Amino acid sequence: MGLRQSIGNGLKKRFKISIMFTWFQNNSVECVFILPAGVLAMKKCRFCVVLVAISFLFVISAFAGGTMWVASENAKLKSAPKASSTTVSTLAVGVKISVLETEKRWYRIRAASGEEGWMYRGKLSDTPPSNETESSDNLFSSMQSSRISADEAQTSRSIRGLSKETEQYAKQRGTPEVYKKALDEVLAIRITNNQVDLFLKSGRVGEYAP
Amino acid sequence: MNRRIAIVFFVSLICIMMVSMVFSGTDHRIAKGNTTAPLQLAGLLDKLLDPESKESKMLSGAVSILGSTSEMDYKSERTIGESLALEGFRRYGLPVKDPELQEYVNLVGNAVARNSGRPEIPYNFVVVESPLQNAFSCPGGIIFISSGLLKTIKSEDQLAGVLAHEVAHVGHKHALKSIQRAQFFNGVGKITAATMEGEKGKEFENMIGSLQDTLFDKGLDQGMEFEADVGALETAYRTGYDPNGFVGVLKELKKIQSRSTQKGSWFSTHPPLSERIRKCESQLGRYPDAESLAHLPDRFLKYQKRVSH
Repeated sequence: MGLRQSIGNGLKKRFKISIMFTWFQNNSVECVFILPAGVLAMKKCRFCVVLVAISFLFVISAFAGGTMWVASENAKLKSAPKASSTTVSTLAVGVKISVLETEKRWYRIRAASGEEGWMYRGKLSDTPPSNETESSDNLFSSMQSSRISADEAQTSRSIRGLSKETEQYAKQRGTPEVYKKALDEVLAIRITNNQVDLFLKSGRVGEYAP
Repeated sequence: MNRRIAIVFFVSLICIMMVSMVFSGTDHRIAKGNTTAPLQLAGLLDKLLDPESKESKMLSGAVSILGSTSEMDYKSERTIGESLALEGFRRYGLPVKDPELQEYVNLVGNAVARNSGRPEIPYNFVVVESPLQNAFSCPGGIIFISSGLLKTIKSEDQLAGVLAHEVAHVGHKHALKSIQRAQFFNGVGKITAATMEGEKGKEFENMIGSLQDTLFDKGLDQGMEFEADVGALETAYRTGYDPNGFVGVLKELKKIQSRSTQKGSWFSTHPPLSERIRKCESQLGRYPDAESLAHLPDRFLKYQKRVSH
């Protein structure tokens, strides 16, 4: 294979890369796997320089993206970068978004549904929340996410007081009534998203900070 | 030719690493300063080199953490947590009789929990009457903090840090992982009224017994504690509290350690404070604007005054 031909091949591949650029922006993690594959595919090319240049193209495109995930409960999409602005909608945990611009601690984002607005940075994460444990555990085992379905979360929120099974445990153990009553009272306290918002607002915490 | 391909391959990999380090600091990547990637990488390498670390044991296959607890449904997890909570009152004391104080701690706790790694489940927080410096979490989200520890804390960001540490344990299911080899789980996928009877019922009691042993006396695996510390900093920061608050609590505890009761407290169930402080401080570089976030000593002190000891 001659010099011109191999450079020509390299150029063709670079052209393909530019087409795939947008895709890579949204799939930065996958790029890390694609890169070695790309290198192997170009076995015939003798010129390291070309290869290294192309590697850089891959890598730069991989990290130029602004994909993040909604990682908090009660993640409000706002019309302006301040908590007092109108709430456009509330996004669910796990929704993939792209960051369009940032202003201090606020990010202007677009959700896959097309909704756009501003969100406080603390509600977003650069890793999908299903990988929440983020520890090496997940790499080596099936100890997967502890996310539960929306339905299940709804049901568990409505649980009040000790479960039947706990009652049974208490009975077998002869647990004094006073401890059961204490636990019942603890479980009866339910804090709503609205209460949390008011509390953070009065302390000027997070999105309510001046 | 083959050698050249190999060289090219490695050069490319090095490129990825270098560029990823540079770009990890860009502004859309929340809570990660320019130093993050090298730090994380160095941290992982450290762990892999340490033969005692969880990571290296996993690589060598010495630890298998596959277990039935990973697929446990939330309701079963909650039943384990509730049963343990009953034992928590027995061991440490009853809730402080002050609904406003309890509500305040629940507000701080729920505020951080909504930005934790496991935001969707319900969390309940309770201050119990006990001079011991302690906080622990039951599977499923019931979290205890002693009046003794509350007395040591100085501001709301510190409280947020402690509660976020406990919330992180719940999110990572640390307590459950510590008992996943319990006899009770053999052949049990879900906890029901039937699994609480007879032989299985006894095994359930034994399992709660070993959970108490771990959480109240021996303490969880040190790696889990550090993981929860890192989670505490991140969650407090995301909520809008200064993550230095958590390190502040550890420093306060270190000051009073020599004159405090050790048994059944954070001193005996957690890794040495100096090591925890050092590891937490090495993470703080990720939060360049940390100090500008909320501290709220006054709001906290208003409630703390209501606690007798």
